[in-house]
Amino acid sequence: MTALAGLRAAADGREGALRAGIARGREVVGLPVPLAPPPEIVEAAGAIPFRLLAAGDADAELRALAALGRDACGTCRGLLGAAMVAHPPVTCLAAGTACDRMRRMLEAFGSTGLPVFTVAVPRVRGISGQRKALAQELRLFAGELSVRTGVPATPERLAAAIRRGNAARRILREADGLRRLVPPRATGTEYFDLVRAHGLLPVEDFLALAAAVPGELAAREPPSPDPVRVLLTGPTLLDGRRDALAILEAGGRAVAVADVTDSGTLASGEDVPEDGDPFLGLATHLLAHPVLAAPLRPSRAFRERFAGTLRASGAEGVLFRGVPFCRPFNSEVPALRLLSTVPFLEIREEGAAASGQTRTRIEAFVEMLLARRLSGGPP
Amino acid sequence: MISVGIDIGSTTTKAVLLREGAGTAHVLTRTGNLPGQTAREVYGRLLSENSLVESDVDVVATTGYGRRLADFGDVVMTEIKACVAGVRNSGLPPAVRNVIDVGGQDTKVIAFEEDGEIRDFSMNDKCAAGTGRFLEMLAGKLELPYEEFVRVAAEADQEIQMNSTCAVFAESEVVGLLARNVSKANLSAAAHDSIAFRVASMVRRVRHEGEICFVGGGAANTALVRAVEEHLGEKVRVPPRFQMVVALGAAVEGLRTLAKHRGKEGC
Repeated sequence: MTALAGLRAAADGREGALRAGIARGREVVGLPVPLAPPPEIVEAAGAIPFRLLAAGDADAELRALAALGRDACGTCRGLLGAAMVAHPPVTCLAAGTACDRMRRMLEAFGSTGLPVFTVAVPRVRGISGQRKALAQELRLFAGELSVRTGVPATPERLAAAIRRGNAARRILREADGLRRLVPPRATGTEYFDLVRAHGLLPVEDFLALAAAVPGELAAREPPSPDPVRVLLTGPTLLDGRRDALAILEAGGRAVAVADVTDSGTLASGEDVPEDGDPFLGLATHLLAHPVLAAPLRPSRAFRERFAGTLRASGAEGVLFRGVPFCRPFNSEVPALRLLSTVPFLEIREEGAAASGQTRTRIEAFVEMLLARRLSGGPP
Repeated sequence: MISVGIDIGSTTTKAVLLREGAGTAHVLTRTGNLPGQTAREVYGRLLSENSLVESDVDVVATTGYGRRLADFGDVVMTEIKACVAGVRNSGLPPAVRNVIDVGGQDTKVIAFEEDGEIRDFSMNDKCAAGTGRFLEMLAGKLELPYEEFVRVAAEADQEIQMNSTCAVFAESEVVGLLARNVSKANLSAAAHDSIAFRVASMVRRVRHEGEICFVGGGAANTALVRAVEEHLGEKVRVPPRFQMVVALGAAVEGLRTLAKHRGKEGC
């Protein structure tokens, strides 16, 4: 079994292990993707962080519909629906808020009977004193969680958790770099498998299982012919909404060499500062690398990130995979189109599974990019 | 070399047989509930009508929404790619660089370069309101055979605006308009105008320099073609075998793929 296959298997079997942990009295904190407080704090407070993933099926989303209403985006509905249908192995939830619909989702989460901790993540950047205010917010969360677990989240414990978290980020960045090579040595699917395992497994397990993955990927024969390079953007690609990625990379004709999504590189980012006050370090990191693109406000910051990633990745096309009602992301599409120096395909589809039309669009997009490359036409 | 292109659409399945240097033959039938099986039947019919057996065929290329449901295809491609190849081999002038394809399930607009490279494309969303199905549905609501529904659009004497952007709401709107004694001719014209407006918007979004052609089942609808021309303010070309264009393109691309493959083997 390859290291990546082992990692996938461990991530798939994680729920069973967590249920056993809960039976032994462990506290498991569910962190709704894409916006959640830093898992380092959860670890420092002696609890187990566990990323909740949105359901990939329509039934779960329908259940959540009653609680959230039609104007909530599919990501929120998928997250709540997963909790309502699958009863994840968690004893409480900790989440950040970025948009009004997300706030409503957290209230609805409370109706499942689980205690919910919320952390207010500022939506606008650059306001004086917000770093200290966010650090204080994180301190409060750590204190509340420590009361629940009986394990104080001391600065020492937090600093150690940050060091482990940074080691995991380095693995993700290494894998991210591999997909940007020409020809790419890793696919977007492989990268997102790593991201998924990073969210589901305890950091020690992730480090033990994932350390060999980048080397293993790099040692493979590079793909031939060189696949077309596509930048992915849109709210999230981590869970049930990986359909667009799967269609894009099917047959090895295209690779998602980079992404500007809530659940991709944005989630890993650079290291958390390891010196000084750890809460301030986490606040600094969260503000510089928000887990959610929506809080990259003013929009200029988000657009600069998109343009910079597009340039650095050498992508030949951009695929935006949106969901209806995700206003923070959808409102950026016209600007992203203008910024895009390469063909831009927008897919905006409700529901977990891609329709035949979505498949046709993405496949035609790949055909178009391949033909452009062959003809040496404009990028 | 002999190539067969099969376009498995939501409403009809089309097959074109292309003999290098010896013209084409074609077959069309309704797709029904089993697209893969229908494609197989159409293929068989095309071969028997042309006194051929499967081993005579060098390449089979499938396209259309059911392209992966036919398990006997050698080459699979999207209808976007096949459509452009078909248009470029339909005897239209080279100035044509944009194509409108109104099918039963969706509508596409594709802009392409002189060499056939696709420049941009647009497909309507999962919505019947921009497709041939919308017109069929309204014809049924007006209790008119489809051909009659198309014909009476030319007899409209009053401009009626359909406000609904959804096929379901449009149906309700038609019921209301009928209750107000609006004539079937005026309603038919309004329905055609509504689709033409959507198609013209798609064209404006992606269009390239050059002329526009209209293919697919929707091209048989003269009222729709006329309404699109009015919205765009220019003439739209309709090739002689407008419904076969995508299948023809698949056959052409199939041959091209085969030639490329054999060229590589030769090296």
